[in-house]
Amino acid sequence: MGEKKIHEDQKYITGLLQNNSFVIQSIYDKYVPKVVNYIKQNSGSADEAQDIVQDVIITIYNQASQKNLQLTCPFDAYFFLLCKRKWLNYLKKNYNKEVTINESTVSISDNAQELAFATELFGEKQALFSEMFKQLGDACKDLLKATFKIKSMEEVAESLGVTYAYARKKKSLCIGKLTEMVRKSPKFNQLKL
Amino acid sequence: MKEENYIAFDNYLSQSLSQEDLFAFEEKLSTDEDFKEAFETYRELSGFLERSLDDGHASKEFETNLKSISQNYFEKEKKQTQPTKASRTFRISQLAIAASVAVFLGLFIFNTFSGPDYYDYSNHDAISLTVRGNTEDVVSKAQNAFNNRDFEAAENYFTQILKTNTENIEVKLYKAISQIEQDKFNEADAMLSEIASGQSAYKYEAVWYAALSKLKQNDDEACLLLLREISEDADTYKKAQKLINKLD
Repeated sequence: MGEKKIHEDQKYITGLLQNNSFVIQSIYDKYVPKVVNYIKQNSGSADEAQDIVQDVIITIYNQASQKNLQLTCPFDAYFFLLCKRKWLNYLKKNYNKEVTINESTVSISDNAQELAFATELFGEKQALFSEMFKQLGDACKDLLKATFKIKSMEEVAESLGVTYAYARKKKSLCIGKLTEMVRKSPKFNQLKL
Repeated sequence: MKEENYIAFDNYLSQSLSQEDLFAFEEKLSTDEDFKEAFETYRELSGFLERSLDDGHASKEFETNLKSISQNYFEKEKKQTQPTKASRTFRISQLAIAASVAVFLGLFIFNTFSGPDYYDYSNHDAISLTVRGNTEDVVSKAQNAFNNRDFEAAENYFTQILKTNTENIEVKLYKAISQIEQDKFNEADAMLSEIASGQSAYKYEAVWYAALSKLKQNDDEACLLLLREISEDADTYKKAQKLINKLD
């Protein structure tokens, strides 16, 4: 990855990270119409397109803020590919439709494929994390909620009526428990590549 | 994985390992595959929890902003794709277009002979605060009042919203606009300068309205100073430049 040149469209990623409304608006103006057309032509509605686009942008934002996403292809190709695949997965899941992906009309660079794939994996991992968190025991859930909301471990300990050392230890053990649940899930092994 | 490993992960991430333990930890990371995978997962989970559980996290602000832009965009998109109605209404709308063109031409000619005025700019875009399928009372009342230009009522509703949602910058901005409309300049200017000194997405929008407030107060000097603060990559940059040219 280190050797590939970063595309000038990296500005969109930077803009998203800065929560720059102008950049977000320009993504909608320039790149979203194509996605909406595609979804409408493939049995979808404008409402569904709205949700798909929103989810994809949030995943890109999260990946960029956590993993230093570097764009090595035009934003257009990367973004369209992500939306399209998300839409096809949605169709498969909700309508049990067998979909054939016709890639021949657009040539997609390997870079875009690779990047979109990485983002997709990231998104699926986040979904898995969220599912596993729901299954975590209540005691851990409450402690983690308090920890990440209040931030100061001293205050967390006080609010839960335990010592600081105990609260800290408990926090790492709860995330540890979650780590184990995630790693044991069959889905996690599918996502490992 | 042993409990002590998770405690070590936490200490490593919060940078509270001793120098000696740090070496041992990093050594283990580079040699023990299982340890490394567990650590990576632990780290990713920590990031995930931070984002999803902390309401004040930057990602929450981002999502709110994104949703409002998305909502606006798709509302327009859906309106455009609605089929055109009977031809008679079509003719009426053509007439309306012709009439408004005439009005605009008139205004244009009028404007070129007179200085710019607050009312040239006070045609605020309709705001959209409610999320689809969610019609919280005060929020939709505020939105309707604002869009119907009943600024007194709108200001009251915005104040109510801000009581429970004290950090909602978008609502603060709309409240300030409602105050400018009612000539409550002191309150509006204070609120706008608060937003302008922050780093939110509404920063330059606030500067723009602060400038309009000065324009309405006939203080062209102060208006110009504010307009020049607007950064080149801001949404409001272009109209700010135009207004600067007219005032200068």
